[in-house]
Amino acid sequence: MEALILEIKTAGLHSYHELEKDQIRVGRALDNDIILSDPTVAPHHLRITRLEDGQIHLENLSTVNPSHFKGKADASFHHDQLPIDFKLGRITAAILPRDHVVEDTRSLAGNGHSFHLFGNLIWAILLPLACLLVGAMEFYLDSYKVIKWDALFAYVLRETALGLAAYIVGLSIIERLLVNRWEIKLVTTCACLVYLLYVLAAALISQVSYFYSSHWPLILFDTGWMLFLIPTAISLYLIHISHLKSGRSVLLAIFISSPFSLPAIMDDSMLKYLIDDFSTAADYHKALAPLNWHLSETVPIDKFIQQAKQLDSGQFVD
Amino acid sequence: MLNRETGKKSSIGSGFIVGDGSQVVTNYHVIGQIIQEPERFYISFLSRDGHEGELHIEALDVAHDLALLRSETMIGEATRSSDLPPQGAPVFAMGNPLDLGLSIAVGTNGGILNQTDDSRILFSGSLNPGMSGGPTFNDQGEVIGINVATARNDISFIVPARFLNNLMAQQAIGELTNEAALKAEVSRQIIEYESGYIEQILNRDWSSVELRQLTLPGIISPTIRCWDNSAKLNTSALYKRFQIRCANKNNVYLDDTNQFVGDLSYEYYWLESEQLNHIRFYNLYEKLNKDQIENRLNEDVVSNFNCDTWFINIASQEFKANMCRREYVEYQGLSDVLFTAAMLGHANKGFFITFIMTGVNYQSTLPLVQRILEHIEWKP
Repeated sequence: MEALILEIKTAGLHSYHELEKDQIRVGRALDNDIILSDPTVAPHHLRITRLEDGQIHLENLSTVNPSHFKGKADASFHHDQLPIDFKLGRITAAILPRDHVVEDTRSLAGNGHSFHLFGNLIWAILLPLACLLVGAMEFYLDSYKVIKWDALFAYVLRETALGLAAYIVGLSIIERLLVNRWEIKLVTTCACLVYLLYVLAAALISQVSYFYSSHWPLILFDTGWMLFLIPTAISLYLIHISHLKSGRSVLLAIFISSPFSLPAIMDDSMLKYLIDDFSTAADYHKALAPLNWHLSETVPIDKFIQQAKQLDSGQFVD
Repeated sequence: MLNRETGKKSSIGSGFIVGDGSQVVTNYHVIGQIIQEPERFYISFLSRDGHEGELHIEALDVAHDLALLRSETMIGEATRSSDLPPQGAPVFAMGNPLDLGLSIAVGTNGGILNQTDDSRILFSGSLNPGMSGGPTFNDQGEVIGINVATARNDISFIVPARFLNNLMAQQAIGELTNEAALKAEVSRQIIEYESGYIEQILNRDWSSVELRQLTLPGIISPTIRCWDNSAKLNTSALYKRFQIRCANKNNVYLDDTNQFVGDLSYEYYWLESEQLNHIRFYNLYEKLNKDQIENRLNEDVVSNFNCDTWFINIASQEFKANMCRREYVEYQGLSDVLFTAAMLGHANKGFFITFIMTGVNYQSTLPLVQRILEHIEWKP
């Protein structure tokens, strides 16, 4: 008779039991053939019987949390096709043939190379240091007084180190819940890369905004970063590093990023532009860049006055 | 001003009889509520001998804060007006302070104030709320002006009687009983006044002021006063800044909500640093680029600003400039204008110029902006 396997799925590694006997009992009690310690599983939960004609008979032994077969919680059920998916309490299980095809092997993040970016201890140390350095640089560039070391350290600790640490701890916990492993090196590397990418992109976008003398590049970047880039980065992480399935990864990424994206939507300058909110402030383009590249030509005063005559009236808000 | 529903006073002021004995002069701001809600309020007089009656608007001089009203019946004998007595001469302001009854405030004539576009006399006496619109007499009992405002501490202001004569000469504006027509007339008068004011400025020779490497317009009108506005910097600051702010004093009362319009101000802001590098300097420079028109008007009163950006060559230097305008909801043709320009192209030197006018026709401000920009000179 064909060898069958009972697959017990968990958040971490799944467990597999060969069904060696014709009749096997599954449950939480210690006299079962297969013991599941989950509290939602009954002491004697399910009996699996292999019939002579090759069919499989599944019989619920418990009225509490009975197993569902094809959506029904019948006392017993006959199956002639594999795999058979069912639940034991909250545990997902399946009966599979031994030659059941498994998914392709996914490449290990880091691919075994000692200096690969992901999962390497050296990068997990160097990248946070780079982040702190960038934080210190931000303080230096935005400070117009004599630099005091205590103020610099306080800023870097408050604005960069604590923020980054909170992200790393939070994401590590989520990672632990998802794949049952602590992936602190990977999470640290990814969080730092996202932070550095953000700082670099923000600087570039500011220059683009100055070039076009328009708020839109910054508004689109801020909105896009919160609404699309953060969820996309998390999705890519979950798919390529945590090796979760694509659909699940996207949903999880949206869920994980929602604490950042929802406030961004609620207080978004793009929305304020679109809904024509009232403001007493003149929202003119204030950016002044050391790199004085701009798309508009430089005009003489009289030409400016001619063009300024065409400036439309302000819009009334109903 | 009385509420038609309750028949009770909403606000009070003073006035006096002129012309044919059925006309009364008061301040425009005394009857300003009727501009906002003519269906809700009406103007009533109570004479010294106890007679009461309704008054209707016959003519307005919004720029000088005067209103000529007419009663359907004769009220009494008109007062005579006269020229201003010599500076220092005693004058007597009459009115109904705080609704306590007619009283006289004694003071001296401080002369015509040219910083108010010659539209105010300085009265060294005490005017109080309720006296607005009342007459100021010389020692012959002739009207030399109309009470209008106070800055406390015996510093008060009187509208010269010559504006009263101009008002009397005006053709009656007719029955402006509906809100839209009243506001249209107020807008027309303010636009006319402000355009004339700008025209006067453009026809004058301007003085200059030096600010580091720049020569800039100084006093462009007698109504303008310039002040050093440089803030004290912390000793650890790695930059220096110098500010000059010039502004006028001849504001025009518009209504209870909008209060005053007619501000004209321009500000110069020089920034320099030898210690800050290019990037740090521009971060600071950008942070200081934040001028606004300071008031707390809401969307019922004004529109949003509409702004546009230009790069302009001014005195052989490149400037990034912004022109912004917003409109008054109920006063067609009136705008607030904000112009800013920041000098570019220097690693450790910056300069802003800001120009603001409120309650003015937008197009009429552009020649003034042009003249200001053309006046600027750069010394290498």
